[in-house]
Amino acid sequence: MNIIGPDALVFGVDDVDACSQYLTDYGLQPTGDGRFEALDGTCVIIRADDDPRLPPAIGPAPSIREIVYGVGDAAALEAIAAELSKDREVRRGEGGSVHADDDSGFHLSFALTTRRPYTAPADLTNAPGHPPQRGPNLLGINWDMKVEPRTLSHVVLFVPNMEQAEAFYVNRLGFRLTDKFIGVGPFLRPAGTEDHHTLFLIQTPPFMKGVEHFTFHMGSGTEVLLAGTRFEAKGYTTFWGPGRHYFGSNWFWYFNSPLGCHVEYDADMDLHDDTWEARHRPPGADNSQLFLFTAREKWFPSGPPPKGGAH
Amino acid sequence: MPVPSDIPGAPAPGQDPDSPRTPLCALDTLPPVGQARGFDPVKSGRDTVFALRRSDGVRVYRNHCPHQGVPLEYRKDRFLSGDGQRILCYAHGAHFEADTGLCTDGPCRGMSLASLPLVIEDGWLYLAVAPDSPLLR
Repeated sequence: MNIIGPDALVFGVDDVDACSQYLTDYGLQPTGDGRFEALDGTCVIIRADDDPRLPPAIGPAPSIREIVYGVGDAAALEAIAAELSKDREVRRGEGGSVHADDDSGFHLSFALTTRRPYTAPADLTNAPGHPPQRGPNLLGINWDMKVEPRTLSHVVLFVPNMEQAEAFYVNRLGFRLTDKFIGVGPFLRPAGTEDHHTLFLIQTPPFMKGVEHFTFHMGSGTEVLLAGTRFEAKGYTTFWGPGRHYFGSNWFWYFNSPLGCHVEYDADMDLHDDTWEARHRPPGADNSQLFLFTAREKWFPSGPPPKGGAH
Repeated sequence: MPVPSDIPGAPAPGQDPDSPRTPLCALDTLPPVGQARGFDPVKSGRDTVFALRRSDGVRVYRNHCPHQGVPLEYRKDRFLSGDGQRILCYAHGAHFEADTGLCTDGPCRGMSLASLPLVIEDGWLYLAVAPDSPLLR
């Protein structure tokens, strides 16, 4: 099934203004009616939690209300509808969209992808021993360089039964397991992308069911660090990072948010195909990241000499 | 021992070991009911406590979620729900009663935020906690 990945995440929130400000400050483009878009049109949609357009909530606001998957062709939509109709209620919507709940109770919809083609620059690297990527007089950075979320990367769900949840996405929707934290949860990749994961599931008690975080891909590790630095300078609270994950190799920086989950910047994720064999590792600090830093205020080695004499 | 404070005009009471004091702010600078304010009273580099007014007085809580020990706010001073009536941990969505700090929904349901003892004197809000207390780091 040619599922590409999440095209939109729909949240029901108690503070629409705070969430709108947050997503704008994060770098998404407000395009009206609660929609905040990345460069390719993938988006987060914010609605008041009592908005009648929203599917029922699975927890107190703010919380996720719908995950919209983009699919590559109409045949995939029909295949999804046929498969899910075997054991659950499936509703068809505009443009042939398919609406159904997953095995954990999250409201899913599937529609022809709305992702737009776009081009954006790469972070070119000069590595000794390798032909230079930036020739003479090409600068790597500048003060006002733009860093914009490019595309919705992945969503992470707290689920009460991760084996059952994984089986649904693998057996019913054709996702592949790329890697797994033993006893905690699987990293899953749908057939329409090579990204290491567009979905990660985490086993939790039932009352925690919801989104743990979502993230958009930035252009590079440098862009993650710069976007996070600017976001923190606006007063937002770091939860974890910056650092670089082990599974997926992606850079990360997580922030608290008024959407009821964390919001991450990520970049430079591994790609995989069906020849990849999943790694199974125990969860923990060592296996979840190659390194971890804490941001600090800019500093410059100047000022008065230290007491007790100059160096 | 003087209180390590650079709050303009804050009186610096001597530290009586039986009634320790850490100044937070002039009471009239605390925002109205429905808003909160974070403080970093011992210059740890981030807001380690937060204060809010309720109808019957002021509450000060440690900025430390009982779920994972992380800061609650998503942005400077943003500790409360949209309607200002509950405390929210914007890390994993725990909801707390503003009056008591009890978690009513979320991963640490049934646990509570640490409520810090406070003293109001001569128009100033103090924590009745010594400045070197681990609660303030």
